[in-house]
Amino acid sequence: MFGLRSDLPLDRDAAAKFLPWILGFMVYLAALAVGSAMVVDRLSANWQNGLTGNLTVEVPFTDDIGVTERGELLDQVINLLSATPGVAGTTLLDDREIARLLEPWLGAEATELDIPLPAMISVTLRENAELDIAQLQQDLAAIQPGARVDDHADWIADALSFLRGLKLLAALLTGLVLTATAFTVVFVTRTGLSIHRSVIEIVHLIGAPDAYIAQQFQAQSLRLGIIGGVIGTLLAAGTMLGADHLLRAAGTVAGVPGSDSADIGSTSGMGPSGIGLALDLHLLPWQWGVLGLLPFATALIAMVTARWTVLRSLARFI
Amino acid sequence: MVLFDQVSVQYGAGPQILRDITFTLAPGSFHFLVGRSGAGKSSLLKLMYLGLRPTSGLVSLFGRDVATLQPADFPSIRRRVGVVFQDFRLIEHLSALDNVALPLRVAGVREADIRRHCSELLSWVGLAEHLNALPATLSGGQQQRVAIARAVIARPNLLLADEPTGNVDDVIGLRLMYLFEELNKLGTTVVVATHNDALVSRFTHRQLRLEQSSVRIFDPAGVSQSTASPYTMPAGNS
Repeated sequence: MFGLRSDLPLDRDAAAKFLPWILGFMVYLAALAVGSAMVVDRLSANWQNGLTGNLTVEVPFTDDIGVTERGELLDQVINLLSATPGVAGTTLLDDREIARLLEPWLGAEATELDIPLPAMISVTLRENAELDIAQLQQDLAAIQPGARVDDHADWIADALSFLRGLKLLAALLTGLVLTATAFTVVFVTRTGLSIHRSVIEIVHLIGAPDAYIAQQFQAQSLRLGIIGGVIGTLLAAGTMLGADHLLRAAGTVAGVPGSDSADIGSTSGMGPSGIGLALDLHLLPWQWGVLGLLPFATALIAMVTARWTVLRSLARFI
Repeated sequence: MVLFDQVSVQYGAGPQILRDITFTLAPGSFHFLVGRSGAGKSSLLKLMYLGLRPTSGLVSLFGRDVATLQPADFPSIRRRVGVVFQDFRLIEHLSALDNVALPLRVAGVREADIRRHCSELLSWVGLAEHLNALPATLSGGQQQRVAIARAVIARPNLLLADEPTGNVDDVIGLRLMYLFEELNKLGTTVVVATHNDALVSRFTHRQLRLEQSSVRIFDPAGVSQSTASPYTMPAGNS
C-alpha cells in the first residue's frame, strides 16, 4: 500500500504537509491520556490490594490512665486481635511512626505537644480474610471505650471513585482527540479533493471507479497517519518515562512514597501518607504494547475516514 | 453501439444547444462529426462519454439507456469509450508515459505490461524520446499525440476524438487519422469531430453534420462529390 503510485500529487498539498504534525500532536495527547489511564488502572489495583490487606486499630487513652495500665490494656487489645481468625500479625506503632503520620497535619513536634495521642496498632490480614468488623469493634470497646477499628473502607471508596473519575476523563480526552483527528482528516481530504478536482474528473472520465480515487487518498492518510502516530507515541513515551524518572528522583530526596521509607508505610497502611500508594508511573509490558498499537489505530482511523470522505464527496461529482 | 433518439440539450434556461438529434452509429463504423464551432459538436461527444445527460430524448450506449444508469455503472461504460479531448486534458504532473498508462492502470493491468504497451504506442506516434517528459515540456502537437495515445491504449469499443488534428501539421494529422483507421479496422467505432474540411475530404467516411442544432448524415460514398447534397438518414440505418 505504501508503494502504490499515485495519479494525484497529494503529497504536495499544503494541508497534507501539515497532516503528520497535526496527527502527531493528536496522538501525543491521546497516548498521554491512554498511558495515564493505564497507570491509574494499575494504581487502583495496587491501592485496593494494599489497603484491604490490613486494618488500623486506634486505642485512645485519657490522662488518668497510668503507663502500666496502658501497657496492660494494649496487651489485651493485641491478644484479642491475634486471637481473631484472619489476622496475620499486629504491629504497635511507636511514637516516631505516629509522629511521622501526624506530621502533615500537626507539624514535626506533634508528639511533644501536650495532647493525648492514641495508640495505633497496624493489623495485617491473611489473604482473603473476612472479618466481622462490627463484632471486633464491640470487643475492642469492651476492653477500652473509644477504641476504634478502621478498615479504610471509606477512604478506599473515595480514592477509587477519584481514580475512576480520572480514567473517565482520560477516556473522554482520548475520544475527543480521535474525533478531532477524524475531522482533521476529513478537512484535509476535502481540500485535496477540491484542489485536484480537474484531475479527478479526468480520471473519472477515463473510467476510474470512485474506489480507485479513494484508494489514493486512503493510502496517503494511512502513510501520514503512521508517520504522525509514531512520532506522537514516541514523544508521549518519552514524556511518561521522563515524568516517572523525575517522580522517583523527587521521592528519593524527600523520603516519600516510592522510596525506601515506603516499607514502613506499607505495613502500617495508614491512608494517603502511609503507603502501598506509591505514585510510580511506569507501565507494564502489555501496557507499552497498547501504546505501541496507537499509531496504527490512528492511521487506520485516518485511512477509513479518508476513504469515507472521498466516496461521499465523489457521489456528488459527475 | 450508439443510438440517439430525439435528443435535446439545454444548459439551464439558455438556448438549446442540440435539438431533436436522432442518429445511430453501427458497431465498427467511422464517422466525421462536422459543423461550425459552437454548433454543439463537443456537447454531442459529451453525451457519448457520459459527460453530459440529455435534457430530453433517449441516448443509448452499448445497448443501455443512459437515463437508467447508476453512477456505479459509469466506470465500466467509460472504460469502453476512449476520448481525445479538444484541450487534451493531460494530467500535468504525470509523465507522458504515465498519462497514457492511466486507462490501463484503472483497468488493473499488470505494471510490466503497462510499460511495454505504453512505450510501444508512444514510439509509434513519434514520442519515443519523450516517454518521461511532463506535458508542459511538450509542444501542442506532442501533447495532442499523448492525448490520442491515452484514448486508444485500452482498445476502446468507441473512440471519440474532438479536433484531434488541430495542433499538428498535415503529415502527422494524416498519420493520426491512419491510426484511427487501423483501430476502426480492428472493430472500434470511431467518431472524429473536426472543422478541417481538407482532412475530411481526403476520406470517404460518413459525416455527421451538425447545423442549426440538428444533425444530418452525409455519406460521400453514396453520392458523387460534385453533386453532394446532404440528406438525413433515418434513425437505425447508419
